[in-house]
Amino acid sequence: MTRAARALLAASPLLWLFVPLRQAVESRMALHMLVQLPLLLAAGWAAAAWWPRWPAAWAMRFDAQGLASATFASAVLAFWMIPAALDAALLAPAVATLKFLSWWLAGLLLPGDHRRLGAVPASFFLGKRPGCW
Amino acid sequence: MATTTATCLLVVALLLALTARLTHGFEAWTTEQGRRLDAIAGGLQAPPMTLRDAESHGRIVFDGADPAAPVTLLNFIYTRCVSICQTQGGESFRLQEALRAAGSGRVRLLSVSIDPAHDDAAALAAHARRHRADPALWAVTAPRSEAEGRRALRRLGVVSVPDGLGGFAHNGSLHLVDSTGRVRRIFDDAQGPQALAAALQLAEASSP
Repeated sequence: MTRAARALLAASPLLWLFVPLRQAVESRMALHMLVQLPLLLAAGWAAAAWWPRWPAAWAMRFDAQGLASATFASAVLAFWMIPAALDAALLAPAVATLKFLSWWLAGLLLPGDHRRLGAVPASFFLGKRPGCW
Repeated sequence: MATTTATCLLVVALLLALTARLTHGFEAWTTEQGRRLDAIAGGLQAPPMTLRDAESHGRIVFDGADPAAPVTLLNFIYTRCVSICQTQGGESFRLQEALRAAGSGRVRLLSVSIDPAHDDAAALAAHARRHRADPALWAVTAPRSEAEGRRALRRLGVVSVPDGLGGFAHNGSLHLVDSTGRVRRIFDDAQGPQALAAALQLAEASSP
C-alpha cells in the first residue's frame, strides 16, 4: 500500500464527523458492522505507521509475542458483536466514544502484534498452522 | 511472560464486566430484551413530558401528579414514516376500537412523535385523520421540547436513528405505562390484543 493511500486510510475516522453520513451508516446494523467498524480497525492499523513504537522492553513485558494485543483485538471484536452494544453506542455518546476508540486502538496494536505473534498464539487467534508464517 | 498473562487476564476481565453490565448479567443480548426485563422488574420509568396535540393543546404526562391518571398504551411514531408507522397506525386503530368496545374509561392510547421538529399541529392532525384516531381514546402528540423528547427516548431505551434520508429507523413497541409513569410491560406492535388485555387488567387493579 502506498504511503498516500495509507495516510488516507489513517484519516478516514474524520469521515464520521460528517453527521449525515454517520447516521446513514449507523442506522443499518449491517453497514454499522461491516463498514464502519472494519474501517475504524483499518484506520488504526494505518495510523500505526506514524505512531511512536512502544519501547521494546515494554512490549516484551506487557505484550510478549503480541499476546495482549491479540487478546485485546479479540475482546473488541467479541464485545461489538453484541447487538445491545451497537444500540448503546447509538443511545449514549460515552459508549459511542468507547466504540471509536476501542476499534481504532485494536487496529493500532495490530501491526506490532502481527510481527511478534508467535506460532502457537497465531494458530489460536488467526487459525494459522504453526510453521506457515 | 507473567505480566503479559496478567494483562491478557485484565483485558478478558474487563470484557466480561462490560458484557455483564450491558446484558443484565448475560441475560439480554439486545436492547429490546434489556428494556423488557427492566420493565418487568419495575425499573423502567417514563420521564414527565409536556406534549402538544393536533389542536396544540398542551398536556403533561407521566409526572405522577394525578393518581387517577389513566393507564397508557404508549408508542413512538413520526408522521412522515411510510413503513413501520403505517402498520403501527393500523394496529393503533384496531386497538382504539377494541378499547371502545371494552368501554373502559381508564385506558388511553398515546402516540408520541420522535420527530417534533417536523411534526407540527397540522402534521399530527393529518396523521390522526389518516388513522381515524378518536381524540377521546387515542392522542397523537409530539413533545413540546425536542430536548425533552430525546431525553425520554434515551431514558426508555427507545432507539431511533435518523437514516440519512430524512426518515428514522425506530422502535415500534407498545409500552404499558401505569398512572405514575412506570413502564410495566413492553409489547411488539402486533401484540395489540395482549397489550390491551394487560392494560385493562392494570386499570381494573389500580382503580380507586
